[in-house]
Amino acid sequence: MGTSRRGFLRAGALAGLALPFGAACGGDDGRTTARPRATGTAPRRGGRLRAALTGSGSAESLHPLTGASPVDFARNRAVYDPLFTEIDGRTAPRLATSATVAPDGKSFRLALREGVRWHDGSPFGARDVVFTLRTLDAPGFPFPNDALTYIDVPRIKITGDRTLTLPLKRRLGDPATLLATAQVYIIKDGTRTFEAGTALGTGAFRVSDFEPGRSATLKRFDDHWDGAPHLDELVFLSLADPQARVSAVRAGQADFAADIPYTAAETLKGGGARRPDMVVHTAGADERTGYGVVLNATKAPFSDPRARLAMRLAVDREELVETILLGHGVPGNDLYGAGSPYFEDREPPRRDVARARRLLRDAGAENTDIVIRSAETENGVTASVTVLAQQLKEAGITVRPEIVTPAEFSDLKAMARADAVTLTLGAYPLQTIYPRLALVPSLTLDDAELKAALGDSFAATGEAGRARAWRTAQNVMLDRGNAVVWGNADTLSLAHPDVRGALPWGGAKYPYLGKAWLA
Amino acid sequence: MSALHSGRTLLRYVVRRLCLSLVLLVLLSVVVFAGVDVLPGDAVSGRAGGALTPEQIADIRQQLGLRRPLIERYGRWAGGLLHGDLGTSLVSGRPVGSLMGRQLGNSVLLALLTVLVAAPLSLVLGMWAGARRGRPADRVVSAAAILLVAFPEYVFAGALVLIFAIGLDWLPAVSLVPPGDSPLQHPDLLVLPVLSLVLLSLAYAARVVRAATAAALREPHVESARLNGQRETVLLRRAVLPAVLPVAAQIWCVLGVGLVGGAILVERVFGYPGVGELLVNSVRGGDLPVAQALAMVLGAAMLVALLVADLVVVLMTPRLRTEAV
Repeated sequence: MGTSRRGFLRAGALAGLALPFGAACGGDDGRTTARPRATGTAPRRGGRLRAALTGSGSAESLHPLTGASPVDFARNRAVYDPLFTEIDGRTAPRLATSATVAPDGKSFRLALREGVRWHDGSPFGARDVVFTLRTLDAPGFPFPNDALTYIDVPRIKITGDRTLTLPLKRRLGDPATLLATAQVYIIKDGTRTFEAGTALGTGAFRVSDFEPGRSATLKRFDDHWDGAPHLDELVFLSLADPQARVSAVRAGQADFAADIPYTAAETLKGGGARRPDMVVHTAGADERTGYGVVLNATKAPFSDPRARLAMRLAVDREELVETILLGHGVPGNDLYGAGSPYFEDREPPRRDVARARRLLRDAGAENTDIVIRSAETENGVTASVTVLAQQLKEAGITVRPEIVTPAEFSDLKAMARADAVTLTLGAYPLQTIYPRLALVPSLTLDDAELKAALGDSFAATGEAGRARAWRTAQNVMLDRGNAVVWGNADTLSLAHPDVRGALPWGGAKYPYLGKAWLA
Repeated sequence: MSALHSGRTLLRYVVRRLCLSLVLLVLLSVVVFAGVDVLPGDAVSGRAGGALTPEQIADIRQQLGLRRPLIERYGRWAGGLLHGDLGTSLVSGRPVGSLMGRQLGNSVLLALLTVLVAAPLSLVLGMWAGARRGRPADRVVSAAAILLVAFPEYVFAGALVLIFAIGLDWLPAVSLVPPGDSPLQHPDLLVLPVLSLVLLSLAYAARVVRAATAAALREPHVESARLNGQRETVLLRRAVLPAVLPVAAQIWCVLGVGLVGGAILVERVFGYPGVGELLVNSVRGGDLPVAQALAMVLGAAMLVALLVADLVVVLMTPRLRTEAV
């Protein structure tokens, strides 16, 4: 199973994607370089940046709460602003300046930024936040948001032009991080339609032209509260095929292509590009996508922790990274969320087939057959099942792959029947990953210590308490967990060397381009 | 036989074919609706992806009307079709007609241009090779056609991009049509997609024309004319062309409609804003109304194409005009 960050966060989809402008990478000469950064020289004003991202055709939308593809996410985050966001793994204020939990823990007070204006010049305020949350909370709204699990929307009180009190349904120690990970992008009070002329945001760019499945042209918004953007114009090109995105950059039709395939990166190493100065970027160690399988611990053989450990020991992680990721990644340590705050960065387990066999024998699961359910939610996911099958055979486990389409993959009953499912997850915060896994019964590890630690991690109001709780939770997973995260895959992008200042805020597969500029 | 009798015969044939097409259209609607409906997964489960509780998924399905009986849903859908209402997308919430409209037009344009270029070429190449059956020229054309047919579309299209866009810098690599514009306003964006489809479909059609030409040249009356000293060029024009044209027309009617929904890979490689991407996304994302409407429209277009192809053959073949019944 894999998932886009936004889809995972907002709709909770467990079907994933990857990112571009991030951190280190290899150029067409094979060298490794950092992501386009705003360091070194002063940003230059002006110019037009054309970014090619994965689109979803006619389903694309300017509605920031319903978009479902990387081009939607990247475009809409340049047009709208969230209350909080993640910057370098930390929660940073955007339209909100603080979220303070009341002494009784039953609500929190949200303070909003002063001087923020919508693209039509009207002031931003508390009513806009309430309208956005009520939109998310409306019956039948098809994209539920994590924030609503905690916030009691009907009882929200506006206490001033820029202050609100938000009642809580359950204990929450760090509402700012919840709002950052839930990526609540604020829409203007009363907005009913989201067309090029009516979609108003507070973001760095305003929409000039938009056609779903083709492109969107954004113009600079000089009154942006975070300073006027450097670029005059930002164009988002919707291209579903990764090779088409690479071709667009190579032929000079785009300046930047997000989420390019590893095969393309390998090809570019060999040269042949018309622009030999093009660079393949990788989003860096903190923006990798975890590849793995989650074992169904609700039934045999993986209800036995010895069988789960045997699976983890039988996997050859290096071989999987080399064959599936073509070396663009590192072996995983069976924990999702590599690079995110509180992640336990331990060494991956060493392969030990003999011990795996012994553990299986002790668990009464010698020469067992298992079904691994999978869909191509990320490049190489289904192929990884084939390689896993070969490796696990050496430990006496026969794998029967169950390959389905992404649309049918998430069927809960079918997932419950399988012994394991593939799951790819980006560098989501742990606060997002674990509650999500708990929503799918067959992916949940029924462990009292884990449950208690997860509860503590959300309720803790102090940094030390949260760190302690997350360490405990991950130690449980490392000791007797049901995840086999065999690798963490790089996210690659292709850009012309004059592209600067693209930021992987909230996800490198759809970077924030509000601060981008052309050298 | 009198012209009046011939006209009545043809009319009867047309009416019968129309009635048959209508019956097939109804059957098609049943097959399309049921076929798409039984596909595992839908937009709700795909969108939820495990992040919604089963109760939440059930609620959303209820609100979208996905839990009503199949017969009831078919009735509503078919009734909507009769009134031009193709339904509403489960993913975007927009009317399916508005989602399809422009993309369908773009795909029709691509198919039309392909047919306009490739049909005459296939006729010339096929007849040329057929007239030289067994000779080196025929072998070269046949081998090239087999080679082209054997190549996967995306490999072929990718090779054209590498050569003409990235290598030579003559043409755009992807068809980035500006919002609101028609691809016709940017002919350079059409060249590579059309060239890909022309080469792929030409290979198939040329082989059919070649076979028809070779068969026509073996007809006794053609052999007899040749023995009487008639020149090959005259034979080709007077005897072979009338026999081959109906076959070619039939082939291109069907190929043309097939290209509208069948150029998915080519559209994807070039980022062409056609109906292919919509079809892929709707099936992949479980957007049943879009998938059903597209399958229905494309299926209906194919039925019309087959009808037209049959009529063309009848009209172009004097013998069939009187024997059509």
